[in-house]
Amino acid sequence: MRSYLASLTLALACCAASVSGQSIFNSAGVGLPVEALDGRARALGSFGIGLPGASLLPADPGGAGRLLFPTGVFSAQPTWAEYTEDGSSEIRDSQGGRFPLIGMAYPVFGGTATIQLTSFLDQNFSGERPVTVDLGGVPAEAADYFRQDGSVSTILFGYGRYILPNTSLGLNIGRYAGTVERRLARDFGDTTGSGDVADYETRGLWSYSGEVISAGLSSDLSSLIRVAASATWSSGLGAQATEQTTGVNRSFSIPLQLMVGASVRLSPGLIVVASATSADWSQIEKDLVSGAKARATRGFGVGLELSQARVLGKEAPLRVGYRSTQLPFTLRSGVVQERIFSGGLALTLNETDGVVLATTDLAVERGQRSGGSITEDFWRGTVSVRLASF
Amino acid sequence: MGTTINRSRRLLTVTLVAVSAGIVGCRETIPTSLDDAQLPGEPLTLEIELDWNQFGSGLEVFGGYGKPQELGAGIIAESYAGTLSARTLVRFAEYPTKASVVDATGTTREDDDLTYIGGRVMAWFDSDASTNTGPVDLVLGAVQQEWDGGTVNWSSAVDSVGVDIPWVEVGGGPVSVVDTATWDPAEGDTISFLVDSAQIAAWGDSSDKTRGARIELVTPGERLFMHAAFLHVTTRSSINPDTVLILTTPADQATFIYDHVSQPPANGVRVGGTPSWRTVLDLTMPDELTGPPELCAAAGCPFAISPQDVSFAGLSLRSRVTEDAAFQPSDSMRLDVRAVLSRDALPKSPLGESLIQNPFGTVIPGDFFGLQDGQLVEVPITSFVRDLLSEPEVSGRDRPNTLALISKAEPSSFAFASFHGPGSSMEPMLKLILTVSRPMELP
Repeated sequence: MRSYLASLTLALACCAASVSGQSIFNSAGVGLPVEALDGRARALGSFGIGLPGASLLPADPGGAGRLLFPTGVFSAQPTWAEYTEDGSSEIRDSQGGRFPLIGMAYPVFGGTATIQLTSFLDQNFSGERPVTVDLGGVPAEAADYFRQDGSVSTILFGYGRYILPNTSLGLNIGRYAGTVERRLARDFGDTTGSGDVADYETRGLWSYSGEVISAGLSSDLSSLIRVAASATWSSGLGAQATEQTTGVNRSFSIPLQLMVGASVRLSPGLIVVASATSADWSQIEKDLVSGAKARATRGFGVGLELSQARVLGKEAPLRVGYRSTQLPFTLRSGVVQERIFSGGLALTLNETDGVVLATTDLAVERGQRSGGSITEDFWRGTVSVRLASF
Repeated sequence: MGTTINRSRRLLTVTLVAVSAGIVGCRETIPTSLDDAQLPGEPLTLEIELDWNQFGSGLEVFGGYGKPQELGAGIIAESYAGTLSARTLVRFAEYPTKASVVDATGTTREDDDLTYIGGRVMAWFDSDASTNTGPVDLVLGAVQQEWDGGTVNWSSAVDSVGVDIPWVEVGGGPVSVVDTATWDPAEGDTISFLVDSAQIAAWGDSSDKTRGARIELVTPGERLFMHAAFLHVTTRSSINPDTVLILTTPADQATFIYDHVSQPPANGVRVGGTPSWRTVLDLTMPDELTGPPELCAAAGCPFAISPQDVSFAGLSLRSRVTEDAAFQPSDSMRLDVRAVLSRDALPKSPLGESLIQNPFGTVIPGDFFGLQDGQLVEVPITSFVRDLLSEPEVSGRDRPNTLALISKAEPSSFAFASFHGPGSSMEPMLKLILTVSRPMELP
């Protein structure tokens, strides 16, 4: 027990660690949406809804009602990306880690109460540009360096329970949290030859707020088929400038996000899953003073799970998946499409009396984001651990 | 059963720790934008100049910092610029009393019974800092009167608090002539004067307070800069009388005296010299700027300057021909600038640290104060101006707003630097390089 708590504490502490951005599309609009999923959903190409068994995922509030034991889940996600521009031979790269999901559930009042810390938007990116400044009629070379460090996350409190013998309903209520800092520095080098020219820097820091509510339903149509749906509504994402920030407070419209998912047991050891999502982000465009474009997004994912596969004598379900979705913000023009092939497996860490108390789910994704003239290829790993009845 | 559970828990713990450490420990590389569209708008960098009456006041010149002895060099002149005569006084250290000598058997032994039979005074000049281009004649004399290296001047051999002993003859005299020599810069930087055994014996008496050598210039119209003088003592060994040794004795005290004291300029900036001159001035930054148009277009006017807006601040001075030709620089000058920490305590106010990052200060060619009158010299004071624009200190004390222009070391030259002062067509100005931008906003 102490070991579990120590591990979870360490994991939570790690969430506070500085991490870098995972995609060049972080620089588009208000950032790149980062879904809070575990290794199983990632491996199956799912949006995290309608999966078989019990799960604790923010996309599926209804699924929380199926949890019979106190449960905790923790997910870590490193990414390696390379991106390039059409017609350019230059390939740039980025890499970084995220902890997109930390959740706990506890059975209470005939249902399950949950608390989840989840990622929502990733905003880290940097940029630089050479500039020529005019000093008393004499042109001098300088450089601007920009860096944005920030992310939006949510903290959700939820409750789910069975409303029918085969149907559970869930509700999450929470707030947006997080900060973003934008810094622009001008480096003059040794423009005057005296070494006495000080760099220029301007910065701004905003903290995020806003309310978010999601509701979902999960129903077993039969012993073979499960369907689920959820809707997430937000009051809008507020960005409050700190006292030293010269920029103004801002508010961004966050669209209603709809999700549906289903899983079908084709045979005792073979499950197929599918899910889809839709959100009209175009409303946020009027809130973007930079002129960035936003679009309605849709996406779908399908996956296959060989649930009776075994590794080293233990049950280790194997999974493959594919998903395709659009990103809400574009760089330059066009629609940004994300396509991912994924695979993974689960390892049982602790099984007592036929009940799995601890598992780790591993997923590896190979994906591509392309839009406008920019193409980004990436590898992404997801490792999640789920503990029950501790 | 229990063992299995424990093993599983250990495995789980190891997994969690490894995953967490792996993610956190991963090398992080932030994505870099491919174009400028995602970056905030470009800040505007522009240069403006403030006239003296927009920023400056209270300019004063103070003198008397440091002593000739602290220059660590000698000045020798004769009717230079028609007004300046200067002589260098040197008191040599005690002679070496021991030397290693090879005896008749070939064994090296220490000989502590040396006989001093003569010597030479060697003088090493700086041809760049000296005005002569041709040969000049010099005279080495032995001082006949008690003198004090720390307080001696042209008229007094000792001039300390409560004690003033004038020279019998102004200018460090009279002396008994030891030797004469000619220095021709084309042939080298060093000359030597022959010293006979009697004078060597006299200078060997360390209790004799008159002990000293005076080097003077005979050729009129020149000013020489002497790096150092030292004495080569010729000795005969008692162990092996056929062996003659030349042992070097450095100067124990070296200073110079001169007969022309410059007066502070009525209107101008003066820095350097021996003793050194300082110029202090008060800076007041305008609360706001109403131009130029490009500044107003970028940041709006009136524009209140904040410390971070100042990328560079420099005091722009214009060199001028030295008003007292005897002190015109013949070599480069090194300028420093520091904050005056207590204006009321001037001329003895403590100064802050150097505001110039270059450890050699602002180096100015000597020609700027002669033929090239009116040359621009920029003294960086960025950190000072930024401090001046900052909020008051926590203690409530006002930040210093007085600057002192000084030579990099005091004294570091016999000559001093001169600049045009307020009221002239080339009065000091304040150059500012400002960088301004619109407020940082979210996309």
